[in-house]
Amino acid sequence: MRFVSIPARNLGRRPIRSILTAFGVALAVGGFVVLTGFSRGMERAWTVSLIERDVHMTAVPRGTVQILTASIDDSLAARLAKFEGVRDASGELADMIMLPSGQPILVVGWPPGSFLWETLRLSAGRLPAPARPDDAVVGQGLAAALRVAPGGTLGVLGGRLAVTAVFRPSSVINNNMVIVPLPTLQRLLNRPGKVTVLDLRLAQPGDPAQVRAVRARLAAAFPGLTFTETRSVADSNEILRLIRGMAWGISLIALAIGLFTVLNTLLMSVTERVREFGVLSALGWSPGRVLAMVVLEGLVLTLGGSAAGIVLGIGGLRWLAQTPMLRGLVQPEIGAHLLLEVAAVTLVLGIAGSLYPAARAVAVRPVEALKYE
Amino acid sequence: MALEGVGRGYDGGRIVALCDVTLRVAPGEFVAVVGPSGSGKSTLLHLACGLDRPTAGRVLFRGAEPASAAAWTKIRARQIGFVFQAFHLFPTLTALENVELPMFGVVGDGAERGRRAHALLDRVGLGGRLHHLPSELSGGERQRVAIARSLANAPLLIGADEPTGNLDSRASADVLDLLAELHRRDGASLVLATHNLEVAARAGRIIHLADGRIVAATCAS
Repeated sequence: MRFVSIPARNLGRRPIRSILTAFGVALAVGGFVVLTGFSRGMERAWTVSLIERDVHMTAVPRGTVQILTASIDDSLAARLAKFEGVRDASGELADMIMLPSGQPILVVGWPPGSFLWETLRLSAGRLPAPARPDDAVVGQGLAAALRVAPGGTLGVLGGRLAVTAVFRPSSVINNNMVIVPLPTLQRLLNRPGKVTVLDLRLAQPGDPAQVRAVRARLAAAFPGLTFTETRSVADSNEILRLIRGMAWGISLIALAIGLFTVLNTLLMSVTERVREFGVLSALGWSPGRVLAMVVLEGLVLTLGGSAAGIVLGIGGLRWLAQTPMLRGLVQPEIGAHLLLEVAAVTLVLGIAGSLYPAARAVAVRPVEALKYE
Repeated sequence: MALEGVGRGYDGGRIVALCDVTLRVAPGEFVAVVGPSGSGKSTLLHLACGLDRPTAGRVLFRGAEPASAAAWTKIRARQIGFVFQAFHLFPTLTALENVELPMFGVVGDGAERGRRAHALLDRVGLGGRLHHLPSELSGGERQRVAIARSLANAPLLIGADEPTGNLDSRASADVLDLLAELHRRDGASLVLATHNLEVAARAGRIIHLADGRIVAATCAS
């Protein structure tokens, strides 16, 4: 008999209670996976969407919390494009609109001739013609959902746009995006001469020291703007940080509930088995061995629960990402990093939830066993 | 094992379970402790086997007084076996696994633990019941498993507290025969607490307790 089979058998003595406890852990871990995966998925979606457009740095008005409501003169792009260390710059106007189906989509306007148009990989059709302000290109995911193709039309913000192309992006945000010429969107949103963000291409994006230096010079030259490197855009975005904070906060509450579930179950189990702990001590089991047995019971419970929780979490996250409200905003991500965090959470839940019951078990004196006869 | 002027009181000394008991058990000796309920038999046995600590006097094992609870734990693991009246087998473990329990921490190899437990159950006549759970065994068989468990680490001293208290007369006789035979063959000291004089008569020496004191010591015929 292996030592580990003893705690497993102990848990098997009350199978319903053990299963319910593991289920509680599964819900807690599943909640953690969904919420953390959701917030990281949003961050990843935004980051990938910029990387895919070959944008190395963005600029928004200093103090901006909600990018979509930011307002910058589009003429600034030309000044930035001439700045030392900057290869190109483009204004971008963006807004989130709701389709009649309830799905939110991003509509963006790019200036005709902007480098951003060059980054699109078209699967069908052609880019908007300079003389056709009502031309639009649509992400492949959105095109499939709306069943539109080049030659078709799309109703956006009260205007009717002619779909000239469908593009094939990697980012889930870009996949559900409509891109129109900037003047068209400025007209539709009644924001003439304005953009929400400035996208920059740098001359030496692969040199971190150069990138930092350019950013510092830009910040000094344009004190009203905040410049952020693409890879850290998620960290500096207040909305994404808020979502991340909320995800962690709710996850912690869920995990605390899981911890108390394990603690309660083991405490009940230990209380029921006082006589057995006394007998084990009488048989010469050291306090460390008794403690290890109870902690292992906690770990078996949390490991089983966590495994189920990961499955629940992945399923929940995928379902969430497909709901009409969130489709196109979240890129579900269950990476090795998240799985490592779940493993750490499992260990903490198992050990923290079982230490106090284990200490109670260790405190039983052998003579107690005989009192229970 | 020796008790020197040992006393055990509870509730700040208002209740005296054992008072000024001096007793020495020689290697290989079979001693029965008899007396009515509440006379202190079990308390004496618990102190002798290190399951409890005295409030007065000293308990010596192999000539020395174990310094701490941890020292007693080590001694119980390797040198003392205990048989309880209510068997105290673990319900989710088979007979074989119950006998293996005291070997954790003493015998490192799992296969060796299994072999030893198997041999011990063969010795107590349960070679065909290795994989039965306690609930699938009779009272006499459960006590045999408990006896095999007490022998798991070849102890120098075996304490048996009313080992036939929960058995019918036939099973009692079988268990006593087994204990006596194992004691004779293995040479371990055996201290048996009982209220039954017929059971005690199998011992080499009988200690009579009353109100927590030794009132007589007789040699069995």
